[in-house]
Amino acid sequence: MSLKDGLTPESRGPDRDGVSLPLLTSRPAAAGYWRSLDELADTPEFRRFVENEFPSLLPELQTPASRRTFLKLMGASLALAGLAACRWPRETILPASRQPVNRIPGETVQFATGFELAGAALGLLVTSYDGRPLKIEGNPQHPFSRGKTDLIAQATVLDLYDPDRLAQPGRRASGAARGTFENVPWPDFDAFVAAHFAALRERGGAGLVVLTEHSSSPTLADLRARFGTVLPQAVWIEFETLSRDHPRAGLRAAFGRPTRAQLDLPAADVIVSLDDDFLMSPGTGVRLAGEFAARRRAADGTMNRLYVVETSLTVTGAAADHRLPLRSSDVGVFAAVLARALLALGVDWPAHAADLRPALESVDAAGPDPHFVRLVAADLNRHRGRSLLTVGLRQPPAVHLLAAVLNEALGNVGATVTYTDDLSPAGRIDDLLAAGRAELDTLLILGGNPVWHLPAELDLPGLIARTKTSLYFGTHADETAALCGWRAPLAHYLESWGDARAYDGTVTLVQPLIEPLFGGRTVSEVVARLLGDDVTSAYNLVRRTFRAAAGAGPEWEAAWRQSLHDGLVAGSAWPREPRRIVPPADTRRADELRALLAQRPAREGTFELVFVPDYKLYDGRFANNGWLQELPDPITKLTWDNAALVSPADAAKLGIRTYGDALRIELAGRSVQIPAYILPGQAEGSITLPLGYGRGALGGVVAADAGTDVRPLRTAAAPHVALGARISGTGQHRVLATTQDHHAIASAIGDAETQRRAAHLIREGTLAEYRARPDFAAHAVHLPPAAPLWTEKDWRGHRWGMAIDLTACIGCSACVVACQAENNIPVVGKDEVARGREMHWIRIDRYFKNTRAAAAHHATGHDGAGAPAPLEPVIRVAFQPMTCHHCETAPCESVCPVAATVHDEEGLNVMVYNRCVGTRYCSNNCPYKVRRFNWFWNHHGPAHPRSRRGRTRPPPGKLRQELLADIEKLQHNPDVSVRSRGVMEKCTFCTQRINAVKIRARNEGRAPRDGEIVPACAQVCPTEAIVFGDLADPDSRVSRLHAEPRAYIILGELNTQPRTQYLAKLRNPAESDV
Amino acid sequence: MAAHPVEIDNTWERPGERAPLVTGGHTFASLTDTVCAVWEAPRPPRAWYIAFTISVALLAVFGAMIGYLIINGVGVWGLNNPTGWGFDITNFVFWVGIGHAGTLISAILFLFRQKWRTSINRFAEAMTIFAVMCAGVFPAIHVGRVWLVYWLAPYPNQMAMWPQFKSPLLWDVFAVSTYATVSLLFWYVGMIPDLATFRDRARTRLKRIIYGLLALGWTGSSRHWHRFERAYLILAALATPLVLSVHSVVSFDFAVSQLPGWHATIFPPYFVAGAIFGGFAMVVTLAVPARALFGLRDLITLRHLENMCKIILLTGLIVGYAYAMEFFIAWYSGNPFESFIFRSRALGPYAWAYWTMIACNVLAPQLFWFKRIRTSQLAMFLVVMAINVGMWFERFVIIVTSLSQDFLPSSWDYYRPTAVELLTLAGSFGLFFTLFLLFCRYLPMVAMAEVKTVMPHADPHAHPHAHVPATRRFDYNPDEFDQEPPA
Repeated sequence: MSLKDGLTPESRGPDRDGVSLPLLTSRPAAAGYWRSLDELADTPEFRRFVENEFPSLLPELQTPASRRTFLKLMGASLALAGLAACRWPRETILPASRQPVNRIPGETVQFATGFELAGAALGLLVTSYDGRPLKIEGNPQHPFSRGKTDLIAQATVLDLYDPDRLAQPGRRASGAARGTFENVPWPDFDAFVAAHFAALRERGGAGLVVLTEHSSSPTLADLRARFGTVLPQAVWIEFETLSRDHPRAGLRAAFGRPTRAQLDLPAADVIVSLDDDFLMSPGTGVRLAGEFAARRRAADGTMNRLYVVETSLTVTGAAADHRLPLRSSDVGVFAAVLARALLALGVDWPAHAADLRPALESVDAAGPDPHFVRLVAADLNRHRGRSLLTVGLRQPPAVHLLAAVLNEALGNVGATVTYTDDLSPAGRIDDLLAAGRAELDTLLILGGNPVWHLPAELDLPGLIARTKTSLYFGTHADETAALCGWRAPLAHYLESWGDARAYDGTVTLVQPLIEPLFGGRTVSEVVARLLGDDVTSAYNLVRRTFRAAAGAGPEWEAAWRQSLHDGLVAGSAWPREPRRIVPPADTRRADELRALLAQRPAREGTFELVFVPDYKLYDGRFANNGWLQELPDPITKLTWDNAALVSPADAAKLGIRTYGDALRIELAGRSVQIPAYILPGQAEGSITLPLGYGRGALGGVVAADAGTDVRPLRTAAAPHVALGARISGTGQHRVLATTQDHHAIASAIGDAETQRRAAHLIREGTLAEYRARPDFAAHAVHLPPAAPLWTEKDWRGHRWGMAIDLTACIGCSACVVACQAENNIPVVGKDEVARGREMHWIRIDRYFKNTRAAAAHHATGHDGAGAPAPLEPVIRVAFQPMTCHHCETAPCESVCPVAATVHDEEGLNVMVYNRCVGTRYCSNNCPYKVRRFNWFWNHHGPAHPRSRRGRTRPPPGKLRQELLADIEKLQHNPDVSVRSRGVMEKCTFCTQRINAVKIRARNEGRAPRDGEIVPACAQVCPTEAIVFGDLADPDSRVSRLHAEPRAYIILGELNTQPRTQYLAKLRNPAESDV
Repeated sequence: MAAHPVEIDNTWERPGERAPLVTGGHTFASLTDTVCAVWEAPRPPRAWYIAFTISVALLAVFGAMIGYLIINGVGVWGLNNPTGWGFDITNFVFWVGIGHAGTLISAILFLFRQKWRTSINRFAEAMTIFAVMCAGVFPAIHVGRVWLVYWLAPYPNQMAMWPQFKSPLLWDVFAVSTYATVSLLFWYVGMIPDLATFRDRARTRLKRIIYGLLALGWTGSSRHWHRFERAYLILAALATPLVLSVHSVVSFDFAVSQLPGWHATIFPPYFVAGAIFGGFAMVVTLAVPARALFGLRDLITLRHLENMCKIILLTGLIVGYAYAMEFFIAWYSGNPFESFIFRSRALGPYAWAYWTMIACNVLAPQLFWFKRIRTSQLAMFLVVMAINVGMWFERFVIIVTSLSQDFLPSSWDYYRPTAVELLTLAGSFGLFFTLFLLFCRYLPMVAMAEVKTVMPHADPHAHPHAHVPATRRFDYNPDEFDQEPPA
């Protein structure tokens, strides 16, 4: 039928009045059944209908064949159009021919594993999405860490996807310059290693030194034992950058064997920390912080009390009720004076420690601060058996010994402190010096980048140069890799089988979430090959250790499966013992104490240097982690940099006007130039230098040029505290990127206003005030009743809300990293942070309160300000986590011209990224300033740190585009949008988690349970300061917290009616406070 | 007739006599010749070329900066987290404000029968339109995703989304676009008789066609004049409320938000007064060189300039009063956030900007109390330049100081513009002056037809040499033209 025919009136036939669509009844009766819709549609009526409606398509539609062609064409073009808009990258996939059990594509699964840092493990649950580990959370079944993690553990998932990781075995190119490597295929490398190790075994390991990080892994301990038999002549040396040698030695002197103190904070009413930042210690901090905070909520009207004597302001010091800034080298004297004061109060000195008493007599009883000592001594005396002394690991062994004696004298042993064994490293780093004198045949370095971490005078580079064959297994092509003859990738812990002990000894199993991305090996695998072990896979090695420990019974496989599922071996913690001081074997420990107390360093003109681990980079091993670099330091709020922490008084003497002014620090002929940060609460005469910064180009793209390397000042003899440094100003300045207290905005009236406002923003009172008037916080600001102008919407569904307990918050900042990991929050780099463009959805506001020293701190930051006010020793610090408050009458919503930010049915203030055009009006109108704008393509733009080359303040918006490496994108949470340039973003209360739980609950035909929805920040919080839940449910935890008398609304006078309420901060100073 | 070589002082006030609004003994013909001379000259004065070259260069910078911005993102500006707006909105408010004087002169002064407006209204209106064009650029380019800025317009779309009518930014869109439309119409309608003059005097075919089209077939018939006068009056009545509404709405951007320093009920009148103040300063800024350059001293006389100086003095006092009142309310309200932001303006990190503003906007206009300053072109030029600077800083102070130090001290941060922002501001002047110079060259700068009505010759009973009572001489009653011609 031609087109022309189709249009003749005849052909239109009876349908002139109306089109009759093909119906079953209109089929020719002869056909009876029809096979397909195509056939059905091929009726004259339908054809006529088509002719009328679509004359131009007629040639295509007339016959089933051409119609099919048409559909094919249309289908193909639709598919192509769809492809053009499709964002999935093209990749080759291998479909599972059989669906693995419990594996549903797109559904996240969690696996238990463990993360070891500094010889102590945290139990983790790692969320995996289609085989990619995305997010790290604590393992709630773990008896030590109890489901909590710290900021470093949170960030380690980003290390897994670090594109700078070593990806190939390599060999130093023959005849080439140092640092030039040629890649070696794995089989060739394995062949070389097998042959070389076999030769070593034949010689009994003569000339072999194995250098490894200290590990608590039982498997490695087992292999090390075998090492002694297989390679009797070889040396195995372990190192730790920040070793536990001092507490180990001190407690060995006290108890006669390697001992580790286990604190039991719930039982402690009075805690005295001697230079111990116990709330932030790797491996133990999360547990202690939780226990500490649990005793501070005053639910039963009681609180513990914390005294901190410390050098620079730490998170623990900020949480203290009484804090004494004291030079680190004076803490021993303080302990001795305290001991004398306790003796004066009638505390019984343990008989076995009698040898230590004469040394105490030598110390000047007036001590560093007589009032403070009296206060502490009286309180300890009142709380015998319910008090606790703890000592930081940088303090000399004698201080640990003295504290152990005092704990026993106060009857605390068995109540607030118990003891377990401590694993001593096999071979100390000093042995390396001895080893270095001999000619070495083989140096096998297993991880840890010792060339960078070990003090320079150990001359590891020289040793490597003198060694015939040096082999390095490391995660990065770092400083050590550059020097060794051979190198090979080490697997990340998320790629490895392994085990490790938590601080209390609980064996924590490490299971991989993903195949090694770069084909790395684990340390245990390398050692097994070295030993010629018949078991070479890490999996089997761990199982062998487990089986040996579990006993050879038939049920061990079931126990293994259970342990693997739980992530730990139940009941494997060391027994906690109330150990007693043993009589001295010789006079050494008394002599040490006497020497410590006699040591009175010259104060005039010289400074004490204290080397501390960085809160973020630890000793520098996490320096290539963008999340950690960009995380504001909990205390200083510095990002991408370290700084010499200087007290305001010293700063005035040295002529430092603002942070960033550079200092020259000289110690025994070595010098370092480093920007200063004036920190209120820093002990006078002491300079604190955080480690871990100043990695050069070998540190990786992110680490390069971040901060200053202070290692030249650090020696093996004085790894923690060095005396006699001379400091001078240099007149130079380095821009430090902080997220708070930008000195350009500082002014005298601004500082006064900050002090005035801080009292209203962070409301705090003492326990006594709380007892007298529990709702003191709600009345700190008078709020006139704000009657609504209109009938409020009746919210029938959930009303999500949050409560943040400022008493519990210690400011550790783990929530910031957790949020960053969960919500695909970009890293913007130092330059952008310096411009005030950090992207964190949750921030921790930190205020120094109520002290003239704090005002001086600000004043010095302002050009033209005079000399700082006199230092006041009492520094109060308060932290306030600040995130979107999801206001009922949200100021951001009413000003958005395109309705990109709106309320949803559950009262969430949602941000519709696709609708946002980026006027920034919402941010301007947000009183909490929690909205974050994407000034650039933050995920792949010119301001990304991967295009940052250490230049401070380049002209903004360099045109060079450097994309996120594909491997970095693997970390992105697929449940959260990756925001484009030019849109506003902010906290969503982890709306994806809310919906995941709602879907699950709906599938199970029930309502979400209280506590089932946990945003990332609340999940990680070690002190459970952040509580999320449904305000519509009066029995939910969050509703009960909102109903607590301590609850208050920040900036309530603006009538924003936020869904987040704070619980006032309580302190518990001693009755006779200063 | 050439420009009068000497300045004629017509600023005197004598009881019973009115100073002439056109000097130099012009006739209708010589006046037409004078105004058309700019356009008819084979080439414009050398100064025009120099100014035009600079302006076009700046315009190119403007384009380049906008291109750079769009390619890279708003991050090329110095904005930061608390300070979401900086130069962008400052420039927007500044340029919108400039426009107000034009509309005030052409519409409000017309309704109030202020006859001296006729010489200056044309280019004041042109200034309005070009300033609004400059202003319109900034809200469009300041958004993060420029390519989606049309979402602010209420248009039917597949998303079934309206813009959010509660947002003052949306009110801005309506207010400014209405204002631009009415101003353009008003300007064009008023220009029709003069465009017809150009058409009639055009010597080339192209010009005849172009100006012929623009003149809409004007013949000067009574009916045309009648319709014209009616239309002009109606448009003046329409434009008058816009003078007040536009800047009131712009001020809502700030007043409706809850930021200390923004959230103030005084803003609408304060902004309108400031806009007129700044706009008149810009008219004087343009008039002083233009009248010298294009030989228009007889038409835009010293008296015109002096009158504008008086208005500047008055509105300057209003602005100064508003500044004082803001401080008073900040104290009187007892709102600590409010009182802090004002203390901080005067004494805080942006005190330099604040005192620049006070010196330029409050102190400098006080010189206009002196007639010698009001009648000295150099002196008044210096003062109005100060006011131009001061009015820009006024917006900067309001926007930046309030944003940089709002409720939570933890978020405070200092905003520092980048070179891109400085060049964009300079570039916007390029756009403005390029358009203005083209206008001077190709369109009637002075409303010839209107000026003629205020000349003595317009009086049908006038005799060139007869003694006419001064009160009658220059009187012109537009109502006379409103009567229907006899059938």
